[in-house]
Amino acid sequence: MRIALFSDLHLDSPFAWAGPEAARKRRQSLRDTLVRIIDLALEKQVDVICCGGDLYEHDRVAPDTGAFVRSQFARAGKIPVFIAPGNHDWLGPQSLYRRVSWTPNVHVFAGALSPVSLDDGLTLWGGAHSRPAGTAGFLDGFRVDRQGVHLALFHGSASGPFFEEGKQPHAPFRAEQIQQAGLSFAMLGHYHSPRDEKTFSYPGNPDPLAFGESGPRGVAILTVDSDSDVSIERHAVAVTSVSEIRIDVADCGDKQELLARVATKLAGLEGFARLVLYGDLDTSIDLQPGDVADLPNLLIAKPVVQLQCRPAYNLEKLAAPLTVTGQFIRDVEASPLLDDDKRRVLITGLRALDGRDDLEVF
Amino acid sequence: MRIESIRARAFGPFKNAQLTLSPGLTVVHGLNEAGKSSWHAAIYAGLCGMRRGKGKTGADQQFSSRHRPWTGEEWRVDLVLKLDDGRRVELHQNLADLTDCHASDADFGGDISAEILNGNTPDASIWLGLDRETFSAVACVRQAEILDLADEDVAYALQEQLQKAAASTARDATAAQAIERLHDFQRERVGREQANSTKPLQQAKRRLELARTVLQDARKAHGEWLSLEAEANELNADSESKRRLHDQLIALRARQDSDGWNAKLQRARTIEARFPSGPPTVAEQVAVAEEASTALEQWQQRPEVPTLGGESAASLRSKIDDLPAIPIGDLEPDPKVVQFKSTYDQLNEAIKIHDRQRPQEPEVLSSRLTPETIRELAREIELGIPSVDPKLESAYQRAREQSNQPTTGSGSDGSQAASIAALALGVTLWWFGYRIGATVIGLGAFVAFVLLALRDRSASQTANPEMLNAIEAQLDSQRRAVQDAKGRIQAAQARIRAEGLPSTAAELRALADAIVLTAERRQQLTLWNSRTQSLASELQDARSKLLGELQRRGVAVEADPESAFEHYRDACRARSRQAALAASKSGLQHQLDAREAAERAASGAARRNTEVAGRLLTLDRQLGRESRNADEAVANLRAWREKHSELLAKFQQDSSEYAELTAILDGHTIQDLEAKAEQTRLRAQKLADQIRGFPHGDQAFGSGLNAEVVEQDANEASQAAAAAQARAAERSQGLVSVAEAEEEVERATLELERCRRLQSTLTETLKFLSAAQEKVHRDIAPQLASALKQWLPAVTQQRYTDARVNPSDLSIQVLDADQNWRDAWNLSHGTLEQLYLLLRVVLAGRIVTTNETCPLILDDVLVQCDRVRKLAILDALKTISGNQQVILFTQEDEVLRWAEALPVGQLIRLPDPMGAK
Repeated sequence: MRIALFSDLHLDSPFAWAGPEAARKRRQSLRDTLVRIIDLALEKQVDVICCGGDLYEHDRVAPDTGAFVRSQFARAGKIPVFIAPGNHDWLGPQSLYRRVSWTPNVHVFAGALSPVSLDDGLTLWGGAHSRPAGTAGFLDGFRVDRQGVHLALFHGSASGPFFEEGKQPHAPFRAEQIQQAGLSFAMLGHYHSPRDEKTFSYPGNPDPLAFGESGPRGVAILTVDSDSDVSIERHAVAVTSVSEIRIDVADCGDKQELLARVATKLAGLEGFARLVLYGDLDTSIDLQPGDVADLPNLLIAKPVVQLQCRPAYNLEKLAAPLTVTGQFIRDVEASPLLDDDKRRVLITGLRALDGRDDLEVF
Repeated sequence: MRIESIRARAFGPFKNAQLTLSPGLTVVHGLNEAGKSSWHAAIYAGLCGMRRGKGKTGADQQFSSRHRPWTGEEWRVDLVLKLDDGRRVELHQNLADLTDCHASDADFGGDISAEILNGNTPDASIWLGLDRETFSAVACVRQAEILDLADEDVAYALQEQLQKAAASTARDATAAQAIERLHDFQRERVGREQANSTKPLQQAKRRLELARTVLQDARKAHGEWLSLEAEANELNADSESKRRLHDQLIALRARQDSDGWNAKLQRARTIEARFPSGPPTVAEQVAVAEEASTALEQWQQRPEVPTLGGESAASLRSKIDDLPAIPIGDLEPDPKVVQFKSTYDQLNEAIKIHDRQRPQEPEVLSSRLTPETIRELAREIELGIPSVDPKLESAYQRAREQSNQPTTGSGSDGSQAASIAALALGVTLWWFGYRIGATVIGLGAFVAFVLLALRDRSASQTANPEMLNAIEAQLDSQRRAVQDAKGRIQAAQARIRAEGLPSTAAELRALADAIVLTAERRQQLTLWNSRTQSLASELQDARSKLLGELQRRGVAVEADPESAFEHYRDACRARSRQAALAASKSGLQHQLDAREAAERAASGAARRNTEVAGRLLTLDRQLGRESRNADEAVANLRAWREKHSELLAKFQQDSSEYAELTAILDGHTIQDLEAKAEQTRLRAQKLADQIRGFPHGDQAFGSGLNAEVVEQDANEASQAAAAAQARAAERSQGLVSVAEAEEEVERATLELERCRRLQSTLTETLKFLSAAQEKVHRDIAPQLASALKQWLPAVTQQRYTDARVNPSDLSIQVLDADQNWRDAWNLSHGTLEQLYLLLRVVLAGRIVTTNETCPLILDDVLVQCDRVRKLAILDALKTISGNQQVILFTQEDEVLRWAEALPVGQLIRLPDPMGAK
């Protein structure tokens, strides 16, 4: 039995970090990725397609999303598609899952874990979130009621050492609950970082949603043998990349050199990118985010620029003289301001004392 | 810190050139182009080095272009200094290769670069608590700064230079300028948080508010759309449910239909098997028995034949024929005719009464005089002729007699006069016709007068003349009245005679009455005649109306309306009688109808009974018996039928079954029926397969449900679902993307946060910078003032003896010889130069934060001073150099001559660039 597992596609998700045009393109990329997921399933001739939830975002779902998803699942033909709705695509009266007239190969789980027979002796148990928050753990008090090999498909949060920082603990469970429930393996959604453990797998969001995502995310093709052993092979399906490029500009002598260095990093980069410039920057260089964002590139949209570089003021030495500058630095350093606020105030004040016009510190 | 020597291995124009400097004051003199500025720069580079890093700052590049050797790659300078702690340090600054820069202990040879690394190269100003930029700004005073003081606003220039130095020796702007710049930036790049502001902060707020509104609207619209979709989905499900129910009902009906046909087929097969040779044969006796049963049944239920009494229908019909027809015309006198007749009769009666009341014919009397005139004549002649009162006459006589005697006054004179007046009045009235009144008044007056006269006589025997005159007047009046009466009588009698009237008053009055009566009778007769004509006319009119009405009712009009009316009334009576007879025809007709019906019923019952009896007798005969009457035949047939009832029952059952078969086949064959049953079975099977089974079990399902009604419900639900779907589709049009709206809110939020952060940063910066400026100025100001006070009297030759510095802006005031405080801008330029140099010296000492003293490197700073001031400053510098090293570059001969008096080693003459000694 070969199962193509994916989750957390988050169709219609907002992209606050991107501009309006880039955000629209990102959303289109998510749709393109679903097309590639189905392509992959057909190409690999899997027996089943499983979605671990958060296929789309209910609160933002576009009017044509239902028709699009239906057409893709219909394209899977005879390959059954099993969906375990998550906290973003929770199963309610207004849910896409209720409104769309699905093709017969699509099965949407509802409520607590319920069984579907995949093959002789192989049962798939799936459940659904029926609200956007507060869904209890699917494995709490659950125990399979028949013989054979049992798989689970749901949207939940592995707790303990497996907990992913920054995520809400929806439908939590402990890893040991899987086997205690009589399950051989759990196919999961919710955590965006891909993770393969002995008894469960998070395929991760298949198309990038944020910068800094790493790991072999995409579609996990699980092969379940008769001994209930599960092997996993991963396939990237993202149609565009979202890259974060960190560039040290500490030793750039002037702005031209700095921009040339950034341009070198940008060369050949495609998709979407965030450029993080860091390092001590010569105080004479007047660098604005737009200077970098407007560099020629092959990206789909202008890169997002974060200036984390610091003007290379030797504050310790500047603070020493009994001048206004020195007094200013000493006073700011001694103030209860937060470090980042201190940094901004110092740079702003020193630039003003230098007679410069670039007084905004990013 | 004191610089001992500087060696320019390769620097600007120098190649292995060296200066050895005095620890106090060193004057380096050279003409233009002798290299003073190059040595100045070399000392700075040797002491502080250059920052090491990729790329060059603008200042670095400018320094490099000015001081890099004109030839060769080497650019290097070495410097030896001695720290106040006694250490001697050698600084090797390879400016062409900044990695090759280091500091070492000149006595022990240890590398001490790490102590003073600044930008990866050694910077000896670190030992002063400064850095190379600060050192340049604090310790190096250039000619250009002094020249800046020559600007128009010299006082401000001095103040600004001080502020700049106070702000930071490395900074390009004063703190005040920086603060102003920050304010400007805040004003333009942030702005106020006011509704009418067009600056970024307010714009960001507006953008966020708008974005939030758009998001709110987008979410609301999105929610509405989802609700509509859900509603449509629900209605669609309802429609599908009803459609499914309808399909199930249809399938159920098909199955029931199939079951029915199959049952028919089985039944037909069974019946056909029982009658392989066709329908059951009807035996003759069975036919008779069946007919006998029918006849017996009819006999049993035969009706009674009624016995009819009373008048026959023929008799009634004859009576009806004899009755008259309903008459035409009035059955009783018409009220209108009666009214006309009554009017006619009343008028006849009125005429009769009127005739009896005819007045008498009047007599014929004629007179020209009216009755009133005649009566007046009668009164005239009836009046008698009055006579004169004899008493009056005698009284008159006595009065005349006494009048000749003297008279005495009498109280009754007045009364007597009044009596006389009254008497006169009575005469007058009488004369004018008021005879009765006049008579009464006259007599009263007269009697009063006489009585008074008599009383007077008794009182006095003498009459007075007035009384005599009065009596005489009265007497005359009576006498004239007598005469008048006689005249009138005579005139009346004359007129009577002339008119031929009767002579007596009574006759005259009778004549006057007769004339009046005759006139009255004549008038009455006239009125009577008029009334007679009127009644005659009314009678004629009434007669015409009466005859006209009678004629309209067919009465022959005769001369006499009375007889015509009688004829009419008699005719009404005759018609009334005929009508009463004719009215009885209807009742007779009803009797006749009822009678005829009864006679027909009786006849029919008798006939049917006869027929049934005949049929019974015939059947009885067919069975070989000759009954005498129907009752006997009935008894025979009942006995016979009892005996053959079983045979009859079997035949009836067979016939019934075969009739059932015939009905089932309905003109078709068994094979046709088999085909139909198979056809319905297949259809039922197909529909059952489509619906995948019936709900609630086959037995319970479908009862009470009508497929047509359910189909109607399904169609209506389908239409409702389609309408809801259309509403949802319409609502989805133009739906703003919630994701995009959220993104805009996020971006607007970030922009507002950026503005607020910038505002906060600028506000904090301004706060700290202002506070720093205030504090430093407050610290520096007294020190500057103290230093100025120390040196000012000497360098100004006692023209100014004291100074004070405003801590707010470092503006300076000096105290002149007249003890007046004067603002610095009022001072001469030379004095300002002196002040500035003194202040820079003070600042250099003030800014150093270590125990080291800061060398002063002055480049042609006295070029603008007059000789006196110059010498004064030089003396001051000489004094200052006792505490800190002073290196003065100059091209001035005056300074040279002054320096020539210095100890050996404190004057360095640079070679003449033109080669002269």
